[in-house]
Amino acid sequence: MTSVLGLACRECGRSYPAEALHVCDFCFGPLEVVYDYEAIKSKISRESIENGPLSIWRYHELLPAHETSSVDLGAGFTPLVRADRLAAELGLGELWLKDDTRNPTGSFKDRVVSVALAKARELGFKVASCASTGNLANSVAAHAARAGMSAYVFIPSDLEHVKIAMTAVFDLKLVAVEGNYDDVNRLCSEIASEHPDWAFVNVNVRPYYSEGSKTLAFEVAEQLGWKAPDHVVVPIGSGSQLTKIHKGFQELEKVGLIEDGHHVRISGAQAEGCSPVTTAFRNGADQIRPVRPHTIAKSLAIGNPADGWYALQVVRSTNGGMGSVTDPEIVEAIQLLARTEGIFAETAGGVTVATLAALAREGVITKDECVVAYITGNGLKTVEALGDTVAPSTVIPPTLAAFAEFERTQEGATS
Amino acid sequence: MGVRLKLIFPEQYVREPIIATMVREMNVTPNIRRASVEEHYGWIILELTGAVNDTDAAISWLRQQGIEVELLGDVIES
Repeated sequence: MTSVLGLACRECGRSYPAEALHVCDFCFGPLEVVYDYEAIKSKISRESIENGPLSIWRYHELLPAHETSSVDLGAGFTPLVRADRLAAELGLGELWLKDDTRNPTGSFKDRVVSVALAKARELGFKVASCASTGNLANSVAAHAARAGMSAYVFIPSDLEHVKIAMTAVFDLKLVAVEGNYDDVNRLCSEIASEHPDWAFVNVNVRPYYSEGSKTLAFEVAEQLGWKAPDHVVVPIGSGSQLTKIHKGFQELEKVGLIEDGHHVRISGAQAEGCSPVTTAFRNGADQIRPVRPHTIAKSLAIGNPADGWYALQVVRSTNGGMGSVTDPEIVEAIQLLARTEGIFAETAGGVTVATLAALAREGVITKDECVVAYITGNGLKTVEALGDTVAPSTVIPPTLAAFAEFERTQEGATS
Repeated sequence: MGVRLKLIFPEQYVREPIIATMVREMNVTPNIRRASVEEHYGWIILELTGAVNDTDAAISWLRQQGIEVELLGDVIES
């Protein structure tokens, strides 16, 4: 038995049953999963979690699908690594990195998709679907294969070959749609409403899907020895992940697993070429003005973020900060992270690390804070973003003399 | 047939009676669910009902007036 009470509208509070619904019929507000926390509190303990599987499903009591229906490729329970060398470069104290590059398909999307397809199976869906430009497509394709579900994935027809291959290999219906972002978005909205018998992971099962991101908070608290960090830095695309990390820390406190969940400061990271939430934060505005994205951080390039307003409220209410960083800063930060900690992140990770650096410089993050930065995707997904900034140190003929000459040029540089 | 839309009004259109004009000129019925108007910006979330041709025509007309029209919620993600 899960302890899900149902769904509730985030705007007007109206209640709905826990079915494949995502929008309030009355005010068109988004729906959110509601739990019976007293019931969860009586069932859950640190020990019960620690005896669970080494994946997001160790927290199944706080997820909206039953663990027996889980679609588990091993998403989650990724390393939380102490980052002293990066901290020293940035002038920070206790810095940790949540290394979500290690997920089965290389991004945090495996967390949300695992939950979405588990719930989809419970609700009797046989087909999984999504519209995506990369990470989500990879993850839906892999999890649908694991679950034995059919899958329809829609991608823009001009997507890079590598991204197509990473999805197509799972043998599904991969539909490349001609047109720009808006054309694909519109068509897929229509397809989603034409096919209520499909589990469109980020449409009709979105309330369940997004709950998977709470595990990013659960794991960090457990890995820190059941305590919340003082400050976290989270990249913002749709804004959903940031709001769910906030919800995750609060839930852990509600069910008695930690004591300090409500103290966590939450800061958001955006690329300057797509920074509607940062702009609203800086202007003191209450509304998010949509923008047309233009950034190498394509996994965060959502110009009209569905949860942007909610993310803004979380950052403000937790006394967090916001940053927006340029494309060259993103590339530099990817290389800084690789050089100091041996982690190769995709562009979203570069956005997070560059924002972390900026917030440290501005004094928003202080040296006495325990800080966690979320690195949400693997660098192999966005190798092209590095361009010609990465190359061999030298090219030499196959002679010892040539190598000796190269070594001489390096003396002093590496010692 | 109904479509759920978010209309975003840049500052120069906030004072224009765009919805009233649309109702007079187009064969559609708007049902406003939520709205917000700030000093420099406003938005309306509404449902537009009518024949598919008429709702499509109304969306084109709104865009011609300078209003940003979005189907509610981006479906495509990274």
